[in-house]
Amino acid sequence: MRFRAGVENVTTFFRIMQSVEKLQKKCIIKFTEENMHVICNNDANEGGIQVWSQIKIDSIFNNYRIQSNSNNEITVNLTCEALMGALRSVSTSSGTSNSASGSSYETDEVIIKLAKKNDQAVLNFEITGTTRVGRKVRIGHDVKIEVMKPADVVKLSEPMCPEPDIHVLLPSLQKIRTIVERLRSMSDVLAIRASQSGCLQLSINTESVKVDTEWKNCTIPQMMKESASQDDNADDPPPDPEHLFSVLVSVRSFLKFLSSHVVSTTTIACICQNHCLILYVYIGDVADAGGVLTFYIPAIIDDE
Amino acid sequence: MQATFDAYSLKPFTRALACLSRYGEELCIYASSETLSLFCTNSSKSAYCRFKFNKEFFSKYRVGDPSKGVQDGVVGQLMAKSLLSILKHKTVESTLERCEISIVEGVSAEEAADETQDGLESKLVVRLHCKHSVIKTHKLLLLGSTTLMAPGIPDSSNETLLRIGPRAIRDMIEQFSLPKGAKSDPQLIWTFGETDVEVRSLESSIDTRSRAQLATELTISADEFDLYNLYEAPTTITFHLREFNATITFAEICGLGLDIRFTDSAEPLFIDVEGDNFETLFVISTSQPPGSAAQARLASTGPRKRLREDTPTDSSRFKKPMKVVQSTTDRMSIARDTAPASNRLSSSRQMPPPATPVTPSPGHQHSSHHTLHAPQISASVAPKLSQELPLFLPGSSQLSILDEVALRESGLGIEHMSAEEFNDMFEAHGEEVNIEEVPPNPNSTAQTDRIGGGLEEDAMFTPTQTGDTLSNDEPRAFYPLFED
Repeated sequence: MRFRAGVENVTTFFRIMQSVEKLQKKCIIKFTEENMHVICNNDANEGGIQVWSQIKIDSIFNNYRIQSNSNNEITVNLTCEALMGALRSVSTSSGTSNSASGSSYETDEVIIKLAKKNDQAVLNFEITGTTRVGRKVRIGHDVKIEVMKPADVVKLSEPMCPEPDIHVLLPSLQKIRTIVERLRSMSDVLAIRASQSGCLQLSINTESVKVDTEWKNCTIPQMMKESASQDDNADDPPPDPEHLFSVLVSVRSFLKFLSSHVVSTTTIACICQNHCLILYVYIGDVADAGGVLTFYIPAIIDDE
Repeated sequence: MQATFDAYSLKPFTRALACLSRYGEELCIYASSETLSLFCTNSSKSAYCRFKFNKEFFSKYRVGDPSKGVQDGVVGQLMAKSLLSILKHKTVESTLERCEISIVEGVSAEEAADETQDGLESKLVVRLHCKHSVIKTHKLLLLGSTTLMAPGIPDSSNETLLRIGPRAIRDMIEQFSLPKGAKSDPQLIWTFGETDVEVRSLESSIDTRSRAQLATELTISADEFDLYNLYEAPTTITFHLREFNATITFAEICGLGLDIRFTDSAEPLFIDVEGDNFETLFVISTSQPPGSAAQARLASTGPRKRLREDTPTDSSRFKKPMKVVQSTTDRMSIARDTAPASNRLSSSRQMPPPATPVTPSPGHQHSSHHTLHAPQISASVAPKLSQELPLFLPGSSQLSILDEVALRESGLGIEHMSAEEFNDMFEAHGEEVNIEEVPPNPNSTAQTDRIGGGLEEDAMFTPTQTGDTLSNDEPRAFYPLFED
């Protein structure tokens, strides 16, 4: 199997890994001809959270070449921290202009390729850059990986979910994060509710404290329902715009999802009442469909 | 000793203390008539740091009392963090007008009625004169020390000298994502070639067995160095980063360049940083380049401070560890700060005493002065010596012919010992000591004599070392601290 690509957009790649790193130590990356999938489906994850993502290779790589016996797909298991370490030395520090953070070298080129060193499969990163004074510098990183067997790859499957009850465009994840961080110390369970009228609520309810945070005028994207016959819909009464669909999730796992705020431009939350919460975090412009990270958070069934 | 400095000088002084506290816990102060030195060694004796402030650094500087007979210098030991926390306090920087540091020698037993300790109970008094006539006085207990650690002078014939700005070297090190945390002690391997410098992380070869997930390698032009006098290309050295980072941080904050000197891969690294009326020396030991898998294992798992109990049980296959410093009670040598010790031993931080003596290679030129017999291993504080790497090892590859002669002269018969016998010496040593209570007299060196790993002690002292030595300068087989 062969894999080689130039990494055009290191920052995005780095931010994707940042979003995922908080969930799991190791993650699975599947490279196909068209897409890169980042998968975290460890059962031991906090609150059962899973991430399945699909990113168009064009949004990150250039000169992408892949070849393998299993349909030109390569699936590897690696440590998030190691991959981030390799990417960190490249990613130019955005935001803070402090030269202490981020790379102090101007990066010219980053090449990622599959390699084998000492009988160990690695993802090799070759970075050529220039120092402050204009001299050439070369940095090489080897990230230890485990190539997954085709049999295991087949077993990877996204969780099954029913049709969501409601979709809502979330406000800025930064802001939500600030609030949920406060809630974390007060409760383990968070209720997320949304209504067709554009109301979004995040609340906790414990013996000692009850906190409700409400956003009004959120966009409710209308998802096209395919094949559901028009007749059926016409018979049903129009859904009550004020009705709140809710789901209970673990605060900690929701917070882990919120660590993707670094990469998201748009996020759509889909509530499957009493079943799960699905969050689509779009990377780049939604229209471009550069990539989407999908978070699945199972609901906590409240018997009350 | 009395020294006064103003708010302007406070900054470098505090930064020096911060750097010192990253090297080691205990700080030694040595005040001579011309300079004030602060130095410390880390717990595994693999790194040494010394700041020497000229008297011009201070607005007022006085050592000794002419009327009573001038003392050559004052020595004391204290916890670096204590002094640092006093000077680094958030209000100090903005309100300080001047700072007076003085060392008050201990009074004799009769005068200090409530003190059970005797004699040399010295105090370091820090008096901060702040705005609005506020005077804050801090008194810190200063432990007298019988042992002063000092590094050997490097032999300059095969020395490589490099000069680099702190930013450039910081940039290089930043490329390596190294595990952070108190337990981690990352190392980097530096290979200096004719035109290029290559830096690799220690686990640079990931294989199926190693636990490291990431290996990094950096290649940069030698032009990054302002001065690049390489003795021989290529030269490879390996050392731990923890103290090196402290040094770079200090240089970066003060905006000073680093002069790095080293000879070959087994000898320690010397770094000089010179500033306004002060100069600093850092000595960092080098480790053996990665060869044995066992070493890599140790390096990643070894605890920072090695306890006495650990070492004797490790049967080692490594080359012997070497110390960066040797203890010397010769205060003149401290005053010169370039103690001409012959054994320049570089130690590997977490290596146990090796079992197998390694045959010597007569390649090294050492200056002739031996401190083999002279130095006493008795450090003033027991925990410091709980890391008991031997000062030297029989038949080690690092001993020159002269050293070997000294070895034989010492009459210890070490060169004839087998590895077991050698280790047994330590074992027995350890057993003797294990259940010691803390000595009532902090200045007592008896305990530490036993704990220390020096072979000379066995030969020099009778085993009956009582715990109640009353004074540090009781003449023993070592050179007295105070040369009256």
